[in-house]
Amino acid sequence: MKKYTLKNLTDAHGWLGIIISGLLFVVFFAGSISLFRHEIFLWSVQPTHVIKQGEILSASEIMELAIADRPFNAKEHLTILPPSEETPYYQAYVDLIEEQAGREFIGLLLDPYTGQVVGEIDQFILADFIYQLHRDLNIPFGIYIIGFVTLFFFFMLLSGILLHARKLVGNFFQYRTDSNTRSKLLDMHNVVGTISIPFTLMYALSGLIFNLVIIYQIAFAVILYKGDQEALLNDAGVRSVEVEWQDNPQKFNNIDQLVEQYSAEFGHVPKVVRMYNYGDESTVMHLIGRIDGNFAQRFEVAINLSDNSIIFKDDVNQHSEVRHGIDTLSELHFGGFAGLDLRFIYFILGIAVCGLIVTGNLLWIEKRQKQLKISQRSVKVATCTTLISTLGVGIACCVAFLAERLLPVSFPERADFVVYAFVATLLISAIIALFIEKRTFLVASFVSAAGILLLTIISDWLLFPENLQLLWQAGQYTAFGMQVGFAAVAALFTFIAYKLAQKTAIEETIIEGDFATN
Amino acid sequence: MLHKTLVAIFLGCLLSISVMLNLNYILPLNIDEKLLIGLVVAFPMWAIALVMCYSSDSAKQAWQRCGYPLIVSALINIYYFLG
Repeated sequence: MKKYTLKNLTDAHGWLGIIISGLLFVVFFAGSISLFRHEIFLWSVQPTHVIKQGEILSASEIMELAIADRPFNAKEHLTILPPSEETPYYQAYVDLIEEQAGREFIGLLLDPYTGQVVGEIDQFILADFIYQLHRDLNIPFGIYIIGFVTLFFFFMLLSGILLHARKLVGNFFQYRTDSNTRSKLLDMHNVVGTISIPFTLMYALSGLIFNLVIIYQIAFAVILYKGDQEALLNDAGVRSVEVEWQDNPQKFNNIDQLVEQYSAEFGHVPKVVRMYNYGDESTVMHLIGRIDGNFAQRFEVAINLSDNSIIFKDDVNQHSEVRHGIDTLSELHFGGFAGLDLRFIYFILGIAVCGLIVTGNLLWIEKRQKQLKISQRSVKVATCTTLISTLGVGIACCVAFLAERLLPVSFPERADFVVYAFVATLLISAIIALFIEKRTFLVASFVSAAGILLLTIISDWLLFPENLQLLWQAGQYTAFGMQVGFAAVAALFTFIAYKLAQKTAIEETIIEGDFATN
Repeated sequence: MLHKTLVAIFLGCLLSISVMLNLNYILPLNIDEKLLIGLVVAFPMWAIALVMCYSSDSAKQAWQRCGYPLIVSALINIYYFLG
């Protein structure tokens, strides 16, 4: 490769890296946490309401309970998510008559044995909030912003591979522990970058497809399909049901029988049971689920309940490859094709990429500091941005966990306050980062994050001691697993803070010694 | 850098769309398979266009590196579109 090509690529790698690093860190950090979003959701809910064992209510019974005493808009949808490995509760999304209810729909969490409403799904927002942070930063057009960040991340990967190509294998095991800080950072950056190449390439490609597919969708619809968007979506396997309201009320007794029939046929209970025109003669049931023994293969069936006729049926034999391909990427992206152990590996790799981002920033800052002719303002901006986007986001997440636990379930604006807690902490840490010495900020951040996590565990036991005991007796260990996770992370943070404080003390002693000698 | 970025984003996007359309015209596969292949190829192609632009010495060179393949690919598009 020509010399100027390498130089140009190095410059672009550094500059684009520093520009996108803040958002990229948030994406990887929130993404790594949201690998466990089902566990976080259960940790939020389970201690507040322990479900007793018994016979699970059927989907049709839950439908009736979900719409009871609510201004249900039968011309829209009623969606039920049956209990699964991820969550033991029934979830129901009921579309409402907006003029009467003041909102479009309500999401309910129901006890699968009694049908009692545990709460609204949106009340337990934390898991979803962190996932949305990963996906679109919880802001309008965030999905496209993250899409373009991912595009530049893809460039960073390709340029990183090209820059490091000649040493990719030779320097794989190189880690110079006794040399200067820059060499250590560079080795760490290169080794983590090399190890994680397959993982990061997969994330970059799948992330781009999830967030920026709209660009190609428009191009295809306009040029290939001559503006027929519906035909494109149909070829892409996006299924929708359109039925005409007959205004003829009718009750159907075949709902549970059909759910059982398709569960037996495909080896899994449907993940989604969606009703159209529920309660009318024209009622259609749309089932979506996984097919047993196949990788990322879903089934989708839409049935007219009046005569059991099938409107469409997607399965192993008949499906769109686009749908299957995107489902495959989704399984790879979220590590959903294996157990908890795979998600731990994903988590470690995700956090390692966070480390990759931080070391990249530190390398850029260090290089820039040495260039005396260049204004040091960019260095200060990069340092503050790195601190806020890494430690600030980390502490804000810890505070959001604590808020999720401390805010009462009956508090109507609970979800909003969890988000406020996150944003307020991020702002406060940003202000503090501007005014105090960086090393002090680092140590204080790690110590306070560890303290908040320990406080969260203590709050669990102080607020819900009996329910936690019942959960333990029922063999439901998710909440305890989360507590172990919090404790482990708190211990790690304390260790890092201790090491940083020790290093600072040594450096101060050396400086004082130099002064004394002079 | 800003010029290179603009070229990389816009010409890179157009180039990837154009190549993806050509793949759709050329590949002897079902439409859903062609759509999927197009999608999987398009984004890496865009990222490669970014690499080509950023490794250029100037914005002009970046224009040339992305522009020439785009012209060739667009001509093929037109040939299939009209034919």
